[in-house]
Formats: sequence, structure tokens, C-alpha cells
Amino acid sequence: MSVSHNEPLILDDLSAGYKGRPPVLAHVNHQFPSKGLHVIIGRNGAGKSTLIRTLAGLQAPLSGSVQLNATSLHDLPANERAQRVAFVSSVPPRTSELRVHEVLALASGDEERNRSMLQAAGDPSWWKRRLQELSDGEAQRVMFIRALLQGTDWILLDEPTAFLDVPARLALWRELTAAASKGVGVLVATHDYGEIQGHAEIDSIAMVGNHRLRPLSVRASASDWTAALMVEL
Amino acid sequence: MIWLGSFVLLTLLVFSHLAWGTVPLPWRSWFLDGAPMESMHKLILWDVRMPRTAIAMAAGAGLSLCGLLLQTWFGNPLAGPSVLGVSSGAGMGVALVVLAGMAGGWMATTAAAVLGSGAALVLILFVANRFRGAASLLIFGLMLNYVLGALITVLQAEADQAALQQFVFWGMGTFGQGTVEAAWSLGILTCGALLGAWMMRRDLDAWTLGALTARSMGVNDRRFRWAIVWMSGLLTGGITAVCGPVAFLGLATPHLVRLLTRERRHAVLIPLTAIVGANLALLADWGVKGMLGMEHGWPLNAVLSLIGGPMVVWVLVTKTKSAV
Repeated sequence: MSVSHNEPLILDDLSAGYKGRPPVLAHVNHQFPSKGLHVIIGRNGAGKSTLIRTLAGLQAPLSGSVQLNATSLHDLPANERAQRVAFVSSVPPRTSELRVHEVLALASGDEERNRSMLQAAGDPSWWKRRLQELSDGEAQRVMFIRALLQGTDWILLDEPTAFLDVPARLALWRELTAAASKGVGVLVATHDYGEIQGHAEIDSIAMVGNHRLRPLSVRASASDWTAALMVEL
Repeated sequence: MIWLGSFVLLTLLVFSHLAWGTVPLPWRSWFLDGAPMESMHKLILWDVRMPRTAIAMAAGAGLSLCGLLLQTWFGNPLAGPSVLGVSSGAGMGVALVVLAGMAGGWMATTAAAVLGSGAALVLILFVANRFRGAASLLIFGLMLNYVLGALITVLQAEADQAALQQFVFWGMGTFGQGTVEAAWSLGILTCGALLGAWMMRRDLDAWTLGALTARSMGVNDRRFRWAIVWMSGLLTGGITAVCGPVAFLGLATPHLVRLLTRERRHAVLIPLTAIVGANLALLADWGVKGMLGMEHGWPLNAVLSLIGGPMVVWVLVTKTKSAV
């Protein structure tokens, strides 16, 4: 999991949203540094999902571009894009009857590596279980391990803990932090200040709202965040 | 075990279909005495039984594959060529040709069925892109069935007796009306689709994790959707043109396969579904042929529905039990 040639994720005059509707983000310039744990925060409906899907290359920008390693992410074919950016959705897969090792094999053909990754970031006893039989929290962790195995510089997560209970949230955040400390760029969207409050390992926070993306101080307190939020209103 | 069993059963069914029929063939004297084939017997074997067996296999495998692809794509166990209105689209095309007399001949019927099912699938694809929910899509397919059914009824009311009879017989479904050329075409079509689906096996597996996740893993969703639409459209259209609207196979076979094996990777599901589908089609054709003494035997769709209906209910009941 050593990623040495890590590159920053650059938003270049990016406008994101859906055609025929007001943009969620308008002409945003921003840079997520090359590695570490980064958070996008914003209220429900502020456009976090739209932004993170656009950053993951899964939704075309209205204008501008997302640059990674001097390449526009949206110009890449799907299979090449998947080698640069991995994505975890907010909804854990509830209907897939694939077994955990089969899901991991979709991301990487190296069975030994898959096994050790499951052991390190999950639970080896999941190996032969069906995704459907796991709890939502376990399934989300498998999806994160799957994303790690994709071997990308960046992993983008869209409210990954939205459907999880508190212990499952803590477990996932622990894995996100561990991955970030090993050199993967981890970018998490969330609406929940409580989740990141007092989290020492977060490297940057950016707030979505009013068509803008504003950096917030990592050391800010909950009341500062609330104040910033009120300004947005 | 399942593989061996399905292959043995398939071999037995193929030979039984070639060996037995309304006209007895002198197999004993061919093999034991080395007697030459009479031209009439040759005709029966090569121009009647061979194409019928091949068409049944191709149609069974093809429709079942189609059902598997659509069920994975929509993430819905009730998806299938007949549920989504694809067969009705083919029926509409054939109705226009046969009932309204817009054109004649085997090629015209085939082309109309292919175009009709293709149009229905494109319509469904368009709707699928607009509404994300699978339930609304199935309702759309159901409504499409009603509307097309109504239009076909209107055409039937206007048609003359001979055309009407031809269409009614077409609607009952049969593996026995195809020519050698039709058998070759369906065989090539089904093999091609199987190969295409096999090449998509990883994408199909990834798709079960959700469309967004699959795309993030490198699945080109546009190509994925179009590949499934084209394969299902061509398969359903071609098969419906030769055999009429064949009920239940597309929906039921994938469920039977999931009951027979605990494997869920498409690398296994695709070939197994094809083999089991071919077996089911040949079995059902025994039901059709078995009703001797009747001039036309039992209609294929009657046999398939009598087997398929209870089977799907059984699958649903046992699945619900295990889910609790």
C-alpha cells in the first residue's frame, strides 16, 4: 500500500451540478493536498454528493475540470479513471450475493494481498461470507477495503457512515485514518460535525454551501463551525 | 456435480429428441446392419428433428441468458424479457407484418420481431435513465404490455381469418416451425451473446454492488447498458420471430440456477444458465411432443407456464423462508 507518487486533487474553475438547475458549486478553485485525511462538510442538500461524485469522475462537471497528476479526470476512460480514484457510496450494497473474497477479487487479482488487507482493515472471518449477510457497517468496511485494493492515489467517500450505528462509524473512521496515515489521499463528505469534532488526524476541512467551497480551520471548535454555518445561511 | 448432471441430461435430451418422434426411424438397422438412409428418413432427421432440437436449445439458452442479464442490470429478480414488454414489442412487430399485412415471408417476420423488441428495449432504456427506481420500471414494462396488447387486439379485430389463425398459432409458441437456416441463425446469435456476456462477467459482478460503485471500479456504464440492450433485443427478437413469444424461460431459469448452485459469480452463472435453459426448453418440448394423438400437441407456452408458474412460486416461497 505504499503510494509514493501521490498527487494533489485540483479543482480548476469547477462548476458542478445538474444541467437546467442552479449549480451546486460555481467556478471553484481549490486544492486537496497530496495525501492525508480530508473532509468536505455541509448541510443536507448543500451539494456534497454532487461535488464528491464530480471529483470521483462519476458525474460530468458543468464547466471547469478536476485535475489529478496533470490530467483531467473526466477525459479518462472509465477503466483508467478507476486506477486513479476509488469511490465508496453512502449506501452499502445490500442485495449483492457475492462473497467478500469475490468482491475483493474484482479490485485486485492478488489473493494474498486481498487476504492480508481484509485482516488488517476488516476481519478475516468475513472472507467467505456473502456481502448480503454482513451488517451495514461490515459491508461498508468491505467496500472501503475494496477501494483500497484498487490501489489508487485517492479514495473518495460520500457520507460513508450515513447508515451506520455509532460503533460501526468509529470502526470505519479508524480505518480511514489508518489508510490516510499510510499515504493514501482520503476525502470524506459528511454532514455530521460530531463525527469530525476533536478528531486529531484530520488534515483539512472544506465547507460546501452557497455555491462555494470554503476552507475551515482544522482546529476550529464546534461553535466556530456553527458560526461559519450560520454565515452561509 | 451440477455441471456433470446438466451435461448428461442435455446429451440424453438431445439424442432422445433426435431418436423419437411421430415417425419411427430405423436406428437399429442403421447401426447394426449398416443399412443406408432412405431420403425420407434423412429429411426427417436433418430437416425436421435437427433444427427443432437446435432451435429449442438456442432459444432456451438465449432467453435464459437474457433473463439473467436483465435481472442483474435492473437488480430485480422479476425482470425478464416477457415482463419488461420486450416480447410484446416483438409481438407488435409480428402483428403488423402478419395481421396488417405490411409485408410477407420469414425474413419480414424476423426483421419485424427484432425491430419491435429493439424498440421496446430502447424505450425501456430511456425510461430507466429517467426513473431510477426498479419498481417504476417494472410497472412501465407492465403498462407497455397492456398498451401493446390492446393495439394487437385492435389489429386482430381488423384482420382476416387466415391471418388471425396464423397469428394465434404464432402466439402459442413452438420450436418446431423453424428451418435449418433459422436454427443456424439462432445458434450463432445465442453463441455470440453468450460470448459477449462472458466478456462482461466482471462488469456484471461489479454491477451487483450498485451502479455508482461499479462505474467507480471502471465499468463503462454507457457501453454496459447498450451491450445488454442489444444482446437482449437481438436474442428476444430473433427467438420470438422463430418460436413465437416463449413464456417463462427467461424469468425462471436464472432462479432455478441460483437454487441449484451457491455460486453467484457471473463466470459461473452465465454458462450454467445457458445449459439449464437449454435443458428446460428440451424438456418442455417433450411435453409438447408427448401429447400424441392430438394434431398439434399441446402449445409450448401452455407447457412452459404449467411448469414455470409453480416453479417460480416455489422459488419465492423457499427463498422467503431462508431469508427470515
